[in-house]
Amino acid sequence: MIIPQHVGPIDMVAVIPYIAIICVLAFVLLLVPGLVWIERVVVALIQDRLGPNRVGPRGLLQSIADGVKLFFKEDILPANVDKMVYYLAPVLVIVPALAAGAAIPFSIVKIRLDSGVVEPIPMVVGNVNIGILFILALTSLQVYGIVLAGWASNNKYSLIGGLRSSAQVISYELAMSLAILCGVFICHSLNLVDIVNHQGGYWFGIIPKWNVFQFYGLGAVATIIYLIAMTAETNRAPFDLPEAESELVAGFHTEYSSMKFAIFFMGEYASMLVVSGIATALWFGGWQPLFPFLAFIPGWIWFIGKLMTFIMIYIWVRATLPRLRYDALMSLGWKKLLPMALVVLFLVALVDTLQTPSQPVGSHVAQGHLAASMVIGESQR
Amino acid sequence: MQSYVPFVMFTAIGFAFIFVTLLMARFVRPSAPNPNKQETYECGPVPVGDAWNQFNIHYYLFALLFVVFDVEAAFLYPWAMAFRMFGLYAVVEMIIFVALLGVGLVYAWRREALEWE
Amino acid sequence: MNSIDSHLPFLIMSALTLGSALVVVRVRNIVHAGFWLLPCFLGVAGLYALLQAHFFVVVQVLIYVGAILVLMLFALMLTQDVMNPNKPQTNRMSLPIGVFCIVFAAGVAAILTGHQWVNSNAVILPANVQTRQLGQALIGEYALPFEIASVLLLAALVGAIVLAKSEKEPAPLPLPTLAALPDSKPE
Repeated sequence: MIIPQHVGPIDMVAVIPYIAIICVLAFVLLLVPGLVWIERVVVALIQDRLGPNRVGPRGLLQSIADGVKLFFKEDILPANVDKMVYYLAPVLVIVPALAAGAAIPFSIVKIRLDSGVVEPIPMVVGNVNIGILFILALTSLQVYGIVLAGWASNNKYSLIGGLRSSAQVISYELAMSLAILCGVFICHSLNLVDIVNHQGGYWFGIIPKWNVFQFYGLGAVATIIYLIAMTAETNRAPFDLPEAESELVAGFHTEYSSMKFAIFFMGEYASMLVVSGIATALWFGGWQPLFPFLAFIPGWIWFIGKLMTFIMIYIWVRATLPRLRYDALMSLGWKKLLPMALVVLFLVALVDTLQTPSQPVGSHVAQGHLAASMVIGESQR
Repeated sequence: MQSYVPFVMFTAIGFAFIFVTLLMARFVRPSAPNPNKQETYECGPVPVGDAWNQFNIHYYLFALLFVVFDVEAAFLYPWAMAFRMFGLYAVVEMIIFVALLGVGLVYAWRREALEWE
Repeated sequence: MNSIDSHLPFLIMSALTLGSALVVVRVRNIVHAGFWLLPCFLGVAGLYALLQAHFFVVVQVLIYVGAILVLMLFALMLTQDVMNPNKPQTNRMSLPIGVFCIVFAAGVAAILTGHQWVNSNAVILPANVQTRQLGQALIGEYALPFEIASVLLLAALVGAIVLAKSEKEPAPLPLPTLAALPDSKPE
């Protein structure tokens, strides 16, 4: 679909960034009740329960009612908290997630300029040239919201929750950034728009050239590492130890009530959306359609569809898997994901180096072939 | 400079959003503080002392390991952008770089620094 | 000379950095001092952004804010009696040192303002090109420092483990050496 530059009096090129801003804000801030409803319904379905079914048709208004309730609740300020830090913590949960959301491109619009040239314009609030690194830096800030909340509350459960969470988040951030590095390798770009554009096209006209299918399965391994790390980064089940309700009451937000509690909740969903957005753009082709004959569906529908698939996976995992013990969690991060990510990174670099020279390596490349060409490469040096 | 404007804006929106919601809620919500309500909630028992105690040094150890590997990852990003121009030479260089840190990881593993107690 | 207007972002970022640095030094609660480093480091990232050094903005946030500050906070939270500081913040040397610092700062300021600065005509490259060029330099020209950085990181890692583990070890048990360790125990 190609849009002319001027629709009536509106200059589309100038308007697109504003549309992007509204979309991101609406998605991150207003969709949370919807996501909560979806989560509750799906978890109920998986666990063979009824789920929300009282407020509104099929319980649709349940999470809105919850929101209204939280809005009208008394805001209890415990006497012993560290006030400044206590108020700052919810802000630090939601602001990095919002800012990171601004760097995720979610669609591309083809616009016929007045000169007649058709130009693809990405739908992204801030198209940073090193967008993926930028998002990584912003998500690394999210640990502060949790540490500060846990610390400020002056509650033993909160503090343990906050500390656990920060150690967990930093542990999995390593695996995450190394997995992202694999994606950067495959596309040779740090710009998310370029990364998604790189994933256009199909093998044999049917298999999409998404990064997850690239490099003879190495892309898939890196994707799996990323998906595990992203679940841990957002403190979701089965990695939800910071708020393990059976041992820590509610973890780092035990002492938070009313709207401040709701903001923590929103922050959790916002960061889920952000990391799912990165997964979509980096591994699953962003707005690129799954099959060539489905290309008539607009890109943003593809993007949101893929994003919601990840949210569904989140919910599915939450409803299915039991919570990890803390030592098992740390050993998964440090002893399995980190070495695995390093090995995958090394293999991706090797395959890429052997692929790039003038002689293209076929898709049937075997391990022996790789080793042989490595030896040859060594002797040439 | 232009590229940072949206992020500054979104940060401002984030702050404003929280400020406005908390402020609006302030007008409609009840406020009836009393000492019992404001006590730290630790499942009923009266909290003993405050929570600001010394804690497990293990957290510190993991943070240090994290700093080291995070610096490594930060080095690898520019490397990943440029290594195509150098071919296998760059890969070998990176293997040495990562292997050295891999030795560190193995050492930490053997010394059981990665066990959580 | 530019007008104050074009310096405004710079002034804001400098004020943020220096102001919060001052709070870090003056605040009595040591954990709060750690928290105040957050705006300080972010201000430095902002200064990099004003200089169009995009990769360093990211690295500043990723490494200093996202990693080193977490480490510092953990270290601070290990301190005894953090919330009730009763030790004096200054000692008897504070006055002479303060005078020395002021003189030193004035000297640096005098040198910096007296110097004839030339405007560089370097072209500001897009962020991805900057990053690529940095990578080229790391692989090509500065390959040896790059590898030595790795050795430095390794030394830091080993040092940290030795420190943390020996502190934890109970007194009667001798510190196990790497060679004497049995094969890694089953979990």
